[in-house]
Amino acid sequence: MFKEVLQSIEGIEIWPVISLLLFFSAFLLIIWRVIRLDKKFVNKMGNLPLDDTGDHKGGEING
Amino acid sequence: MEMERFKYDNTIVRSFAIATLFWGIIGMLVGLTIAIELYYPALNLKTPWLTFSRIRPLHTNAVIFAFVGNGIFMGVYYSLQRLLKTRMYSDLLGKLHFWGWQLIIVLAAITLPLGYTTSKEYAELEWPIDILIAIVWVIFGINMMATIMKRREKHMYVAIWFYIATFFTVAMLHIVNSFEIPVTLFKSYSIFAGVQDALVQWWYGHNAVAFFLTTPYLGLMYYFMPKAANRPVYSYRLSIVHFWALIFIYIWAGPHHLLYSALPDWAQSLGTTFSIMLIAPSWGGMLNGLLTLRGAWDKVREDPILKFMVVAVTAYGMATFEGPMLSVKSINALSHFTDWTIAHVHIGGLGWNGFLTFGVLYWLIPRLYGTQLYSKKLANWHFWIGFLGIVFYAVPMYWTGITQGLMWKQFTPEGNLQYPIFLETVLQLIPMYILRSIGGLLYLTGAIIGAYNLIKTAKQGSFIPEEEAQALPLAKQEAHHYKNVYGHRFLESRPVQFSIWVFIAVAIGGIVEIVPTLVVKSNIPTIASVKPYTPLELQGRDIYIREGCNTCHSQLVRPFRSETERYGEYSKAGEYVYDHPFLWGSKRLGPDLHRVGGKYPDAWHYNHMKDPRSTSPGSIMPPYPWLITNKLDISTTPKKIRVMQKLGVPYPEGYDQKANEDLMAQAKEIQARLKTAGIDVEADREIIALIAYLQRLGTDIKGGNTASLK
Repeated sequence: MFKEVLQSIEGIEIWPVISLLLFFSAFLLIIWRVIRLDKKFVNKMGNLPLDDTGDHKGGEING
Repeated sequence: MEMERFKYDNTIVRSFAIATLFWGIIGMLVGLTIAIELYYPALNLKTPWLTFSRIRPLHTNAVIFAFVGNGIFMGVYYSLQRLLKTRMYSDLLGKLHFWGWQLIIVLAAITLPLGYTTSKEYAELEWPIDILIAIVWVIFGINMMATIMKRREKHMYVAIWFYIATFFTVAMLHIVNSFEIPVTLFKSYSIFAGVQDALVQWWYGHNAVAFFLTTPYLGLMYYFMPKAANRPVYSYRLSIVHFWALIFIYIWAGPHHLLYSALPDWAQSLGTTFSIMLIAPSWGGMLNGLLTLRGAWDKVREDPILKFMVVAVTAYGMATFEGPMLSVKSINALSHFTDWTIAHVHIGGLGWNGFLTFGVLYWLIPRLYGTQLYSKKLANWHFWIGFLGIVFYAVPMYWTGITQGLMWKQFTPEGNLQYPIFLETVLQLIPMYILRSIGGLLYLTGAIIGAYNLIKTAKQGSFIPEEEAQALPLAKQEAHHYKNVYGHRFLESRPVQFSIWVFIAVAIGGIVEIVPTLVVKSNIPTIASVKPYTPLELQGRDIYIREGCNTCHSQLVRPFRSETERYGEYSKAGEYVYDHPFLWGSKRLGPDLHRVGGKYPDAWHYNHMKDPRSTSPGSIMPPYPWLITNKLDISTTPKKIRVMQKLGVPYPEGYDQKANEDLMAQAKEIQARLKTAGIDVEADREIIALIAYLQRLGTDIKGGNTASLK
């Protein structure tokens, strides 16, 4: 019965393939972006939670 | 440059913290109650309102939306203000959000025991409450997004991305899964039917776990764990990959709840593939959390807060490894419908959500009250009792899951089922159910100790409703810095674009999953002999839903020999085309009912509902004697028929007006049959409708449809 359902949808086999390609390209794009991130910026972002005592100066990073 | 002075609002954080603790204890108490009812059904005090099948959804809703929900808002309102260097956009919206959410919880606590339910798991609340949820959720979203807009910190920290993803995705899931047409004030029919309804429901159900129990809590982890360990997150780069990979993949995995079901095969495979892929981002996140403690592991020995957090993140890692494993078809064949699933979700619930919540509370409350924790010793006690509770909960549940799964599938050398009587496989589990309730009791005890400790902490300090802070306004920072920002930094500084990308990421998965099913709808092999329910059966079905029979009984015979031997022909997609909503269930505390029609005489069902132990000695099913005395409300029949017609169920035109005639005629037939068995009951009782429905189940393809539509 499953086969009948499957066959009745045109080009169904392409759906999972498209899904995988979509994900993979998005994934590679993110990795590429992340690698290119500036180190100073990354450090600053990582420290954000520790830097919220209320006397934040802002602006000291310009990387 | 001139600093702006402003104040953080702690009052809203405190409100949500109190609600978290309060509802947490209530939710766990309901959980303990249903755990005990499994071996001591009389605990329902013979009332419908405390019966297992009605209050199990109350437990799941309470711990998910009341305990964890309030925990999310507590953490978001605290961290968002500080990460963005601004007060929340509106105190009023915050208050509306808080009280609106509590109102929803109270309404749930009233309506679910009364039997007002849609039967869809974690979405049981009826349509007026669904609308209220949507409104309150949007209020939260507006308040959060507006706060982000008026921020003084240009870039959004990773925790905030998780909050944004949570907001948009939950909104989408809730709205799509709540498409229903009202019949009365507290009754509606899902616009989807059968296979399609199942797919939408588990797309929702799975992602409720993903975007309500996971992403917001990952946000909390990324904020509070560095806070508690006093060091930055291990890898900020990893957190970016973690975020995008997780939200992109999670949304696809829903069909793994429907393996071996009547759902098309390709959708099942899609669910499995993406579930296995999920291990990668989930473990990336877990490792990022645990490695945040690099060089601080000595502190874990001392600090109960870190202990809670380490166990939470470890439990997250365990549950997110186990989940994909359970999505492998051959494992799912054994685990599905058993307590294995219950064990799995409690590793997540008790470990990940529960312990992270307590870790955050122990960190937060002393700060809100400008004091130290009242007793570190008590917090350690809480930790160890709670931890033991998790072990005592999970181990027996894994044991029962595997035991029962194996017993269902065991054949004798002659090729017969070794345990043909379902009840045998249940009775085997009772000692483990007792142990499990002890685990639950331990966990609850820990929570109560925690509440006591936190109340004492609050009493010894004095609440700081407003916390002074200062920061440069964003405009001035912009003028001086931040040129040439590109890539992900660009996104992080632009919440609207960021939100759009988040929405695209989650919508792609949703669309690919849902759209083909819409195509399937017109392609589901129609089975000519499948007919709409008679009015009496329809009313009986609604009683089945009201009593929550689907909590313990599935209606889905999987295509295994062990199931076709036990129940009969496996279930076909085409059999469910008139099922608004679908009632496949997710857990078998009792046998599958899809082929129960015609299996027993009417009198058997009558006696079984009155006292299950009279027909099945030792049964743990609670009695439903009120069905015999309650008069069936037939005033709703015409409206129900009309709504069904609107949904495409082919009742003849004008049938709504003559439906009750047919209903009474069929009821009289059943009454007469009961009479021959020596049972005197009036034809207008609820039991008659329920019997009609049960006797109809799965008979369409047997050819012996007893009472088809005239």
